[in-house]
Amino acid sequence: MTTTKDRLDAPTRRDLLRGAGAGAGALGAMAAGLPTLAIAQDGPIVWVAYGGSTQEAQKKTIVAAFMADTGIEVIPASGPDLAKLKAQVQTGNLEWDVIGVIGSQAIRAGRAGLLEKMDYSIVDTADLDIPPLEYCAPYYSYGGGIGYDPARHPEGRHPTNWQEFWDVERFPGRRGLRNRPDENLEMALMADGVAARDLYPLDVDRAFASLDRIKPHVSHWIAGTPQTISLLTQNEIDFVFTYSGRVEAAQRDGQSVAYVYENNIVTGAYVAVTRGSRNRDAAMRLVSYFLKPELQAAFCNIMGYGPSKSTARAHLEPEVLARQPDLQDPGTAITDVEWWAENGEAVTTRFKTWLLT
Amino acid sequence: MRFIAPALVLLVAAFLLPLLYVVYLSFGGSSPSLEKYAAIATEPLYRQVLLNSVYISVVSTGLTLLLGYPIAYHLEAQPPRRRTVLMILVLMPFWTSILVKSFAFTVILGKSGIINSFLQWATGMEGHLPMLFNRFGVVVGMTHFLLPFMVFTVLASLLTQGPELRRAANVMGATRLTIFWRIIFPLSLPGVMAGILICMIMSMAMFITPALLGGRGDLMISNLVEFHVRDTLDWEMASALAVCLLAITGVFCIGIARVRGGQLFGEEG
Repeated sequence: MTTTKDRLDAPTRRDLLRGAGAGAGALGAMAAGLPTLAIAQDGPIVWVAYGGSTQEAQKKTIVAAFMADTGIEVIPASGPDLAKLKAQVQTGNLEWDVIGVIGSQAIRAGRAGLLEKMDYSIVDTADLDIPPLEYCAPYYSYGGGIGYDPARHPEGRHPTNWQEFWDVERFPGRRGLRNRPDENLEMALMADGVAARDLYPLDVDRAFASLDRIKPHVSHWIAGTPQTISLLTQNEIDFVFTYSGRVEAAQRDGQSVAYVYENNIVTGAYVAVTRGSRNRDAAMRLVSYFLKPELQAAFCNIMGYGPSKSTARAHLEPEVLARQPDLQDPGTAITDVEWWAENGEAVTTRFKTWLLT
Repeated sequence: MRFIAPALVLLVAAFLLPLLYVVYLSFGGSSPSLEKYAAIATEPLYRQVLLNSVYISVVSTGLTLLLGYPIAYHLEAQPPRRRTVLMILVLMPFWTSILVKSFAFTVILGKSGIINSFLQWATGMEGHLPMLFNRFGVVVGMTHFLLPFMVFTVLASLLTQGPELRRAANVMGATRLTIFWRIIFPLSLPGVMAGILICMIMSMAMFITPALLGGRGDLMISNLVEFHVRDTLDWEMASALAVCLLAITGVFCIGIARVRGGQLFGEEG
């Protein structure tokens, strides 16, 4: 069964927004409502993230170091729902100062006036592998790729890249993809022969033509990230698009799942400051701690994610380092969140229509 | 009037005003336009999804009535103490979150779930019935969720019927079937209509069940509302969709009210 803990393990859009928003979010928001009454310049800062073991690990490493160094209190809340943020900003009832966000959404939120511009005189952007954005700074990355059950599909019997994932003759089996265009379009193009480094701007028509070919073989268009693993272990599907963090967590639980670290789609996770935060400067300083190499490494050593700064790699444990998608590898695609911020809505409408027909 | 004033104030403040704001937003807010409604009218996605919602809601509500009425009828015939115990059993699904229930259906309806495993064992055949991640799965999940609402509304109306009419009919030689169809069922119709109304309203707005148990074609209107509220932050579009949903449900309510007030009871009134 899926536990709340592993539901919240990787920052993957919808399920996180939904899962964290519901229960924990309500509690977090209630707890967070009180401290904003304080008028003091330096905190306490309310920091909202996706909850679960990821936020716990950040709290123990990055946030703890910030609190020890600056003496500013940080109050964690969970469920960084942008709809909630919009309501907070619109009503002038700001509960959050620092927020963990999805890149493309952060860009939209920034344009909608919900986020402060990043103060890169406070936040150090040197050595970033993932480009910093106007309204948010990347602090770690997570890779998406092919998951399978090694007991059913041993070496040589499972696809190892997107062209093979699309090759249903050589690798027969039920496919599982997400019910949204994000990442699907990228893998469809790579399956069609586009190099990972030449994906953007995405050729949407070509991507849909490629998706048409795989569509009959996709038995599940998966809504929630936890299902990418549970459908695999329940033998409802054979090959799935999932995230390395989820597979590693399932492996730690003793499940028979494996992951292909090549040809991954790597997406950045970002942190931002809410528009009108009364603790803006302190909040920017907290963001700068999220970008400190040694703190990123300490966090990634717990969770297995990739740090956003290349200089953080030197501090990674060897076994964590070995499982990182190689950002320099020409087969690794890095999600262009700006493209998605620009085109996400139109493409999603087209994708949902395409799914219905 | 004096007694309903507090409730009225609460409804106006907490329901009517936000609702009016949603309508205002749907027409573009401070820069009025029909853009969002035009998009709903022209974009095939929205039409298809609206049709989906109506279809799934009607089927689920119909099935809920077929399953729920006999349960309510049976409950009504029980002595009060026993009925209380049985009512608690009917209420039991409310104790679990809809999310957990939806996941639990995987265990029952899945490819290697209880039903399919049994069928394979019983028939000795390899195949399986696809009962999950399709329309069937959505309808089962929704019916399961709606059932208590139907049972309790129908039961409430059955319990208000006095035993006298049935006794009189019995004395006059009516069979049990005649008593049911000529007396019990027509008198329970207000409850049935109320039940249908509640179930339709709730199922039209459902979004977790279709997302978890449905297939790629089982998108419902609330899934799109959620998408626009949380992902695109396009609240005008979300509001326009919500207004459409409200309009459809409203038309349905008026329809039911007319049936109730009109022909069904016309001969007596």
